Amino acid sequence: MKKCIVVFAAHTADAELGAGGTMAKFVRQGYRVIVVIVTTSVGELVVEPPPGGQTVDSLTPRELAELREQEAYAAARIIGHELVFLRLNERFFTHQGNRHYVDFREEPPPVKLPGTGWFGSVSPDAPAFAKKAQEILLREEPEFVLTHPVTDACYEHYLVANTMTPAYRWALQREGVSIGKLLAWEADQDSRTFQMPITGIEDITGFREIKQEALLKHASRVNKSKLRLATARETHWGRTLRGLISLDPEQAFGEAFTRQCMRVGISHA
Amino acid sequence: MKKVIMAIGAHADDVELRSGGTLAKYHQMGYEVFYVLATNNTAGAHTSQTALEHATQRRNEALEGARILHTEPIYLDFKETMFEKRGEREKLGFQTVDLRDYPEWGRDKAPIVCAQDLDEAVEEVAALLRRYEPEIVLTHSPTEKHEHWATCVLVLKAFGKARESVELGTLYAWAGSGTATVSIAPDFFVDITDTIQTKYTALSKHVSQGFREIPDPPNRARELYWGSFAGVRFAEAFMTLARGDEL
Repeated sequence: MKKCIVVFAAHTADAELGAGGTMAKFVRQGYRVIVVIVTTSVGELVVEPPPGGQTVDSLTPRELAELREQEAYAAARIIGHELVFLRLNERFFTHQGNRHYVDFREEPPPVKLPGTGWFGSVSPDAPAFAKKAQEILLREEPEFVLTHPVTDACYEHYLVANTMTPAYRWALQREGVSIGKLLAWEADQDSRTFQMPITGIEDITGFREIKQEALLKHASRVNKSKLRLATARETHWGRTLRGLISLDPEQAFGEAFTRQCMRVGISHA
Repeated sequence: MKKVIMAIGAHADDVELRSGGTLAKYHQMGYEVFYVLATNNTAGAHTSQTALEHATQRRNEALEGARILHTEPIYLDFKETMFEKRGEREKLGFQTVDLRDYPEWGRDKAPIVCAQDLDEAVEEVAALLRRYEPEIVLTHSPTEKHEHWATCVLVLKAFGKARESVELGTLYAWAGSGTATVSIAPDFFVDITDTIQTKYTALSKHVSQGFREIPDPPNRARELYWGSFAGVRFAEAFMTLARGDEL
């Protein structure tokens, strides 16, 4: 097992929203943090203008994907993690105010898409993602693997979570390979079907500012509502860490995780 | 809120498998029962049927099963992600689909795994909830796979929308599907000891699903297992997903 954390996220900004404080903390403790972004991140309807006043809806999918990768790099420079882009297309993309579904349809998409394939339950690229995830896990042998929870209400988040579980289990069973825990971060309150039982809280007090700064770099994805929800979660878990009446004058912040894939017929320390 | 129980399943037989005993029980208690099918049921063939033949058979089986539960199906007909054609699994959108073999119902509907992101699809389910104002809504668990998960999220979103304008009871996820990725913690158990035979009769109508025997052992085990939690012989178990009064 190496001093490494691998994070699998469906879109840009997902990793920072779910575990940005934890990532910043571990980077500063000498860990190598690798964030794998599975899709081109062109699906979400965010109409708030990015810096410079350009609305996302006026961008082509290729321009939007490029913008989101630039934002991801800017955020990565602040937190200190590495990035891997798999660039699989989502079910739909937004172009000139319209949502175009590209998966499950017979007709070709009306606009050329930037990615290398489709990512969906019927997609031949879902197994391709599983294979890629397995390769990364075997190569990096991380101490922690972070991803979305399976209870997430966003389809691409759910697919990444559900693909990761068997991929992780497969990697664990390889001889001579040592991989640590698979943890799912807590989904947004408005993006989950139900709350998974929380099995661990990471104290991110002192690292939340780094997370916030990184999140602000995702100007085309992270709006005020997402920031507010993230703050509510961080505050809630910080309070849980310190107790309701704390003698510590410093306000605490936390990020919560659920352990997934626990000893299901496998020998894993 | 009315004395209504509504079960919304992805496929024909899902409702009977997970909540057939509960629906029969609530019917005994004077509740009106609604049985809703989310997809057009082109997948799941164990035969060499075309998609059209298979979907037609499953539609008829759902009708027979629902009648045993004193109701008739409401078909939403969202597209499945695949359909079976002469034993081969074809995936919509990635291979040429022979629409001569494809059922008329669902041709123009959204795929079920996209429906939860479409306002018109959410509204369609919300309209059903507004119309019947159920005290109890049952659906899949969000820990299940694909169409089941998508149906759950669609219903969850529709429930949230509908409760803004009408009084609704509680939305529950049923427990114990073999396709679940993680366990859920049920908080609502229904004693189905005296309605289990009705459930099995309804299930027996789904001939296409190839149950070797009814009751089939995995389901029987689940009913006994949840029964032990509820202190009865047989039970079906559910977890609260949302309540009508939490706005």
